[in-house]
Amino acid sequence: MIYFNNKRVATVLFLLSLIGIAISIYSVAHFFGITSGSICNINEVLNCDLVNKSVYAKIGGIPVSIVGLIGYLFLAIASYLKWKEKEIDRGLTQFLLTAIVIGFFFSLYLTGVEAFILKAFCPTCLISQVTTLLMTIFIVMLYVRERHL
Amino acid sequence: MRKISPATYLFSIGALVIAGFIIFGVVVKSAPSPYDSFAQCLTEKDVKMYGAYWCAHCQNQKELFGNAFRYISYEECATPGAPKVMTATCEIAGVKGYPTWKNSAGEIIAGEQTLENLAEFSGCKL
Repeated sequence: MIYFNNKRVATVLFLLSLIGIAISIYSVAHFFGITSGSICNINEVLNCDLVNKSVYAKIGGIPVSIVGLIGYLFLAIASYLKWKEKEIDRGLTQFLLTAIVIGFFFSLYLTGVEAFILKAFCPTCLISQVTTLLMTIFIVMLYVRERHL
Repeated sequence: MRKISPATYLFSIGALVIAGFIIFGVVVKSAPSPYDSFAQCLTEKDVKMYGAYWCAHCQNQKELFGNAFRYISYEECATPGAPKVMTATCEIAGVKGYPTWKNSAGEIIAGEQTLENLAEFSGCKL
């Protein structure tokens, strides 16, 4: 396992979190009308306006993009702490796993809404969903690896 | 003294954030709105809003009412599974765009409306 060590994985996770944060900030700005979102309104299927301004863009009165932003911030902090760790901290890995499991199912729900209800996808959401999927794979690998150490 | 791990802090803050979301959601959804009686009056006078869940102007219109929107008579015009296709009910009602407001006399006003416009349209006091 030369290419798979905690520091490398933590670095990748941190970078993916930064992508998630950037995407979420853009989505928050789009939700509040700070940016027009025109660059991600490609057609009627790939359309940020249809998704990010629909009734499904909020959960319990809170914009989904803000929930995503907070989630990615937690993942970025935990990844950074994982990168900094001197000896293996399984608690941090458990936190990363808990956070990404919540994020993964949240992302799955949103993908379901896009695919089956709205019949439209927002490109920024798709990038966020791929980011979440990649992070899930890496964190599960990290968790499994640490369990066998 | 035992050192508290960073994970414990993260789990605690995370739990607080989730609890905050839940409390905020419950408080925001149940809070009374200054437009409650206005919205109730619109419904009593048979004024109806036609809209679609993907329509941004409809969301703006709903937000103008805040929690009072729960008292508005609302017709969803997007066909389930084919959101851009208008339901027969909305077509028969003469809806051409979203949102559309219709009163008991069959008069229609289209587009996002101010509450003042709706008060004038319905005769309800704002």
